[in-house]
Amino acid sequence: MTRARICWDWPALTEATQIDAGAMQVGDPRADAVFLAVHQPVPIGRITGELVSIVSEKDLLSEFVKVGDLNQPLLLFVTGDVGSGKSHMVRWLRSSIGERPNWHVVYVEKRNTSLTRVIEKIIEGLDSGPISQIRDALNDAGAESQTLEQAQLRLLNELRVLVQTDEAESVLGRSASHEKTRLDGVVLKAARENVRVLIGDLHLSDYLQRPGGPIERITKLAMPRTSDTDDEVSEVDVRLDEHDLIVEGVNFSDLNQTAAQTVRALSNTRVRTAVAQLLNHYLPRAKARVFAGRNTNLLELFAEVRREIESQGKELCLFIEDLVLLHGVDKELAHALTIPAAPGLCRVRTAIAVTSGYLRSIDTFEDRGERFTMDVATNTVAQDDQRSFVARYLNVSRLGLDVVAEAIDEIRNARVPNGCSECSVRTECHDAFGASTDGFGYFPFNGNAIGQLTHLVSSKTFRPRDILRRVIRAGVQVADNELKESGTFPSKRFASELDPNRQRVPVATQQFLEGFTSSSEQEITLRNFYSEHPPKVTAELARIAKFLDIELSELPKSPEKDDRSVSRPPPTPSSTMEESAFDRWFLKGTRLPAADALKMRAWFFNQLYLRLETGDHGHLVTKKDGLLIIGGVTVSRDRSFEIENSGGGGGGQTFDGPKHVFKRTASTAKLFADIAAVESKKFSTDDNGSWYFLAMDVLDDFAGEVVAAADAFRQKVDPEESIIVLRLLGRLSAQGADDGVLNVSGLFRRPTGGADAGRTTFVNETDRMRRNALDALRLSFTQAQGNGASSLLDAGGLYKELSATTNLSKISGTKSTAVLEALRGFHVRFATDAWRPLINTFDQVLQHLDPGEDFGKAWTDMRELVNLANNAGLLPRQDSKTRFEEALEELPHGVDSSWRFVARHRNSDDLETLVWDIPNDCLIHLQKLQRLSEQCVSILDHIERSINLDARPHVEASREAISAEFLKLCNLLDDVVKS
Amino acid sequence: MSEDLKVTIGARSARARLLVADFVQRNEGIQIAENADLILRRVGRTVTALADQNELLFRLEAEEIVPKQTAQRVVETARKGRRVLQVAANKLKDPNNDVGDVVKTKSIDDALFAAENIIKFRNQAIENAFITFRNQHRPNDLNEVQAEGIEPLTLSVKVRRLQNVLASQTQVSSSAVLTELDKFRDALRDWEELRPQIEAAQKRISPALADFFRQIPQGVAWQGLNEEVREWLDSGSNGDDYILVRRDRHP
Repeated sequence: MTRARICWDWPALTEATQIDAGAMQVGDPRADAVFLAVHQPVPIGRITGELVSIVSEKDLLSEFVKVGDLNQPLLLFVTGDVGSGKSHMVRWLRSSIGERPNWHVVYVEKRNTSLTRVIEKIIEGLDSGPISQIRDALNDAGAESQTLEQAQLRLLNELRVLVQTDEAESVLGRSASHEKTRLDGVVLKAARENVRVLIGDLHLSDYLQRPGGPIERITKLAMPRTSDTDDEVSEVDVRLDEHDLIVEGVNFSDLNQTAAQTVRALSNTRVRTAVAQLLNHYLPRAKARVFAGRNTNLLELFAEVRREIESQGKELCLFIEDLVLLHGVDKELAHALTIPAAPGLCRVRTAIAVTSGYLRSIDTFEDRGERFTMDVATNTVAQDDQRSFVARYLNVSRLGLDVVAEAIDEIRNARVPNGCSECSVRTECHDAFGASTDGFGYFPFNGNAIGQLTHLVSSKTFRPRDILRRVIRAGVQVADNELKESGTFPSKRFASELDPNRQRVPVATQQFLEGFTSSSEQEITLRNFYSEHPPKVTAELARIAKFLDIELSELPKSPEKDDRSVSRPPPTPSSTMEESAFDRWFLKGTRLPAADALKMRAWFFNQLYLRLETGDHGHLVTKKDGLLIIGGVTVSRDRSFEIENSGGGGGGQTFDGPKHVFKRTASTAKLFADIAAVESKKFSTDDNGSWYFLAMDVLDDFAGEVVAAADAFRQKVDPEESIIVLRLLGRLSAQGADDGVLNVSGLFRRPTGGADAGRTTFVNETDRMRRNALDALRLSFTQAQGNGASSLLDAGGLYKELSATTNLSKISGTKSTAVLEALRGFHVRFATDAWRPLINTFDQVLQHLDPGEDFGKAWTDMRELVNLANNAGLLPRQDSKTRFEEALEELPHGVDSSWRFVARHRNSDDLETLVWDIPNDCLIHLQKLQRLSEQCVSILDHIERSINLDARPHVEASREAISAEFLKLCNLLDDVVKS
Repeated sequence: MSEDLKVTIGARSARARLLVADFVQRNEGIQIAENADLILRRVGRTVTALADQNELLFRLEAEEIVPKQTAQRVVETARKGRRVLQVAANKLKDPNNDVGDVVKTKSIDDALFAAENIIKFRNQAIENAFITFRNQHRPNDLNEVQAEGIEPLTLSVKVRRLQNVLASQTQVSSSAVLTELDKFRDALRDWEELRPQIEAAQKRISPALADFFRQIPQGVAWQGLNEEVREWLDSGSNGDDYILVRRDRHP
């Protein structure tokens, strides 16, 4: 009986492994105790220029608390990807600085905060006149009390005002991922106009504010958050991304013309990108106005904070758990924190957790501080530290949070109580599963399991959060559930997310174990994760199995033909209990259903593969898509195992490979029924597994037939035919750099069809021929006896033969075999399919372009015309110029050579030979050319239609008539004046 | 399109560029011509209106209707406009000057605007002068005469018509002033001629009926409907124009 028991408190573990230990409230003694109890020192990277050196957290602490010339602000950045532990490290720094009466410490945690509260936090406890005024201004802004809807509206409104009133002729736009792009000229103008409409139009503005939409997301992140378990704020979420502006497919009703135009414009990725970048440029200012108040001068605020602290004779010590929380005021903060101390301005030291990308996005900030990174390679974290990292969380979960909280004083002095100390099975448990150097037990893991699982979630970079979530929590949860159902731990659910297939235990071994033991799932899991040398049973693993009361099987040395004896007899199915489909098939002559027949075929097919794969027959064996290929002979799962009077089996298609026919006999029916029962785990142990030996006899015979067929194939190969096949198919591996020499090494790799469907079809159609030809040549020249895939080395004899020849462009000459004829057919179809769309597109474009057209001149002329016509209002559509320019810009490099290639060969009689020379992406080139020419023709047609050559100025008014009228009016006005 | 007839994009764009350039140039010419036409029509309209106004003023002067003098500031702008037009007329005589350049200037526009302002101002003065004339010449006894009850009926109808014409306060546009003046003078003359007949007819009305008619504008009390009045109301269609109304007790 298992001695394992649940020794942890699941709620305690859940709380201790919260997404981020940094999310535990600072100053809460209980949270502080848990934080310190689980804290495990790990290496940190120190970034100096391009170099990263490994330092310890103590080095980081020394750097932060150093005494010296601190007139220059001390600024430490702790960078790293999401979940790397950077906030945790800032929190640890905070808890490690000790008592510092002369420091004014401000800790900005990411838990339960908002932009407004961050500012309030910074001015907390300071009461000088100006700061009080700013506090009042913050309260007046009412940011804390406004609803989400109000804040969204205000944010949009501020954005619109900023975008419309700013007259800057160029702005530095920002993408969501911090890349900077300069926006100016027409792009900036168009982006401003699109923003004006996007925010100004009722329907579009509503769409931006939709639930789950970008404005709601950005606003929510700046507003007070109440949940303690909020996910980390992602820096991508605080900005707009072009995807946020996708309006295609949205059914807007009653859009006015301008809004409809904007919707159309936004269907273009580049327009969306420009609009998003423009909005991102103004977003921080808009957010500051909404959440800090329009009249709050943040630069002045931060300066005043430093003045006030200086007046108290202190220095400012600022910890920020996540800089992204300050999006909106980060630039001002960066500026304020990097001004050197001076009389009246306090010294300042700051530690900030921030992702590298976000840090780069704040101009000049990054260069002014020392950078440390939590992104360190997993192999720099010592094995004991990795294990201790997990053990500390397990220990806290065993103690329970109340006990941990009570022991806060001891924990502060680095004496963490041990949850295993009172356990009655501690000795056996630690002997089996192991414990950390501090004595914290690893159960329900062991050292190997921790190492393996850590490697699976952090293969390159150490990822604490993933280890918490996917190793500790997931693993303990499975153990928690399964130990309640005694005897099932560790089942296949253990670490199923990380290694569902138990890759360290070979398939054959798994199949063996699945068939022979009732605790096979547990055994496979133990061998896979807990063994030091998977799948071997080591002394440690044996102790674990004993502790868990799991009996381990003895594996056979190798599954060879004569070695049928295993430590335990194969189970005997309990199939006789009820009448099966197989009984009915034999006894009553009913047709064996396709599903049952398929299961049998699959079983025999898989067993045959296992047998042939390791057999000593000298043929290469491959398996794919229900086919097993051995030395030029194909065995089909569906058609090689014919079952009399059964469903499925490939219908009436012909199949010329080897076949085994199962006759409708009593022994076959029993064999099938037994196999089916074993597969569905309904077995008993009273028959010594005789069915197994019967099945092996069938497989032995059939495997012999297949190998004989492969031997026969080897005898009849035609090397000359194979060389011709390879010389032609070698073109597929030439990758466009054909110099006439056969690419021999390339022949051993399956060529790719790329994006070209016709080429892919050709590759698929001829792949069998290529492999057969390679097999044939290998057999002829090298008489290979080895196993595994054919390789260049394998074909030493053939290499000289092949490399002396050149590629073929098509099959011609005197030799004619069925294979060559078939290959010729495939090649002709490939060439026809490749040329047809090219010629069709070419012919359409030819209506508007000469075969020898000077593209450079034509597009320059067109561009000038479009500009002229645009100014004269003669373009067919408002966006004609943009569409033309886009089409022109999309014209790829090399389009003219593609055009001239097709022009030169369009009427050739030898398209088969020429198919190899078609330039890469030729069809795409012509299609782009077609699009551009259609744009041009549409513009030209419109201009020619619009201009009325007969329109002449019709001047009724002659100079004399006007002059005369002017004089008459003079006289009349004279009268007025005189009267 | 066959190869021979094909015009490539390159060739078409070169030709189209010439077409567009020509189009732009011609468009400019058309615009200038249109501007000159517009100016000519505008000047023509102003000249006609001013000339007609002069004629009207001359006629009204003969009728002793004298509109108010044109304001000095308007006269000043007219004087300035006159000089501008004179200069422009001289420039137009020189074929070296472009018609468009001469006519499409702000000073010409201002001059024409000043002339149009004068027309508006003088029209207003004429209309006001006619109102004053009617007020001064309206007969004093016009409202004392009650057309009701006057016999014969034809005389009563004439009285009503003359009262309508002579009492009118309606603003008359300057173009209609002469017609309305004729109608007013004719009515005055008829009123004077009919006055003896009206006075005689009024005397024929009994005192009770006369009282009744006098009270009608304010409403007549039930006691006012004596036998004589009721008899009159019952005869012929005299009563058709009267209804009985209940007095509101709580106004």
